[in-house]
Amino acid sequence: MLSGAQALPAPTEAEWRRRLGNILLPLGLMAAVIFAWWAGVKFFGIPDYLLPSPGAVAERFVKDHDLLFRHAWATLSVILLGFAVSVVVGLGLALLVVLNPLAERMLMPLVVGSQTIPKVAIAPLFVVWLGFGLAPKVAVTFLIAFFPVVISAVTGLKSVENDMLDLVRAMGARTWKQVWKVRLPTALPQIFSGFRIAITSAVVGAIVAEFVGSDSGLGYLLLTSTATLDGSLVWSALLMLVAIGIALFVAVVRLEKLVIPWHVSVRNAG
Amino acid sequence: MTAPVALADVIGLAGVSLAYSGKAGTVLALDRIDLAARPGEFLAVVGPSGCGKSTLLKLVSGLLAPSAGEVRIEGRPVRGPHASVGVVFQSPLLMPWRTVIENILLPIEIRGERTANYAAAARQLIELVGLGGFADRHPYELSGGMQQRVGLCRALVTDPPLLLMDEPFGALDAMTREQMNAELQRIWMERQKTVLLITHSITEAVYLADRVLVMSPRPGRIIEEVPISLPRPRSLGMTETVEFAQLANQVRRALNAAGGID
Repeated sequence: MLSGAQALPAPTEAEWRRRLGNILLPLGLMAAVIFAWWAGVKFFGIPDYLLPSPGAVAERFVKDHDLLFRHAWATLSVILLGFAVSVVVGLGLALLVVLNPLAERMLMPLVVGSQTIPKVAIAPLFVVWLGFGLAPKVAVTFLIAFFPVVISAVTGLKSVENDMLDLVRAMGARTWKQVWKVRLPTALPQIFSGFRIAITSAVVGAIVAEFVGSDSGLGYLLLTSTATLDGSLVWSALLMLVAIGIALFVAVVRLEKLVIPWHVSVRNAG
Repeated sequence: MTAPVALADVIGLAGVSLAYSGKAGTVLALDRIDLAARPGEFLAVVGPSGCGKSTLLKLVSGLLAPSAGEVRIEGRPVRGPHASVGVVFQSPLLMPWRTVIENILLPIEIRGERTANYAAAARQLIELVGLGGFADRHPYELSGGMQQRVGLCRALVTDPPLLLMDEPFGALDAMTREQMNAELQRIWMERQKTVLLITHSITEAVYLADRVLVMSPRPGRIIEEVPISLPRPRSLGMTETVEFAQLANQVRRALNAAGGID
């Protein structure tokens, strides 16, 4: 410990095997799932409109990739905008709640209450209020995604040791310096775990919004292709959605590694 | 035993009481404390748990305001946190996202001054506490004793006349603690600070202090003052001498009379 971190030794053969396993095993599992899917469809003779075989889905994906990417792009912008608004508003609300006990009493019932409203039920209202464009979709996405941001940020901003606050107060730090120098950095690990949940919720939110009032997006594509029993298009759209969800989640995790490399959860992940 | 508050005193407490209202009604934490510390003096406060030792420290640092009486630092009445103190708590309270030197420069940032102007002073302090070469490490790379040294540097970086320490070595193992005591004495002799040390350890108090103040259980009062005239620099071997044992016993008897230490 005293001599500090030495240069890492070159990876040994065992290390390479471990790294290879890290890549091959998840791929293997995915292959097994696809195989089971294919075998199930074949064995039980399931018709295409109920569950198409992986091959049929892949074929459709390639054939209609223009259509799929266009709708995916529409959905992605709703997700990203909704997530961005959730982050800004969610962090703002959390700060307000943490710094002002009265605000906490006033706002938290509304925040929690907003989550008990079924989004599917309220989404058509947003279309009526906000029109047929991007706004109602972003609003629905926000309504789902801001909640984990607020909850995790409030917990994080509150989990500062009293002694730590006393220390910086004794140094002369006022409220904003305390927030900026202590509370916010302390809360970042919690905030990021909120972001991870929020980004996946945002994907669901965007689809819900597109179900209701939209003529574009993967949600719209899912709705129309389900209505016409176009099984391979339904599954192509679903796979596209899953890919987007995983990619966004990974992006948040990468960002987290960049922002809080000092945190135990990041250091232990190696 | 009211000490006159002279202008030259670094710490001057006159008739300071502190009451706070909790769930069980009003609690008197400190009762008419008089205390004066001359420049460069090393004061240690010992007392049973919950006697208000830490409260005393918060009053001196300006984090709390007294219910009665007056707190003066360098002759000026205290009206909130002020720049004349450096504080060290039991836990090092380092920020894990900052390197050693960034942690040490935190008070400078909070004051809104240019950290570049203090980088040299910070590095000098790092050498002083024997952490040379660790300036750019993160706290998780350091042992508990090393982390507490960083905390000490952070308290000293603004070169305050007064150092407040709240059981700074309480969380360290016995051997590291002895070593830190010796180093604190060396640093204190080199830097000529006034120190107010709160501790649970009678040995630590007698070894380090010019005067040991003994507090009673709540409401905290100063019930005895034991001057320690052992020559400096004191060696750890000195803790085994008869004179040392007699002084330690004197402190212990006062504590026992007050209800014991725990």
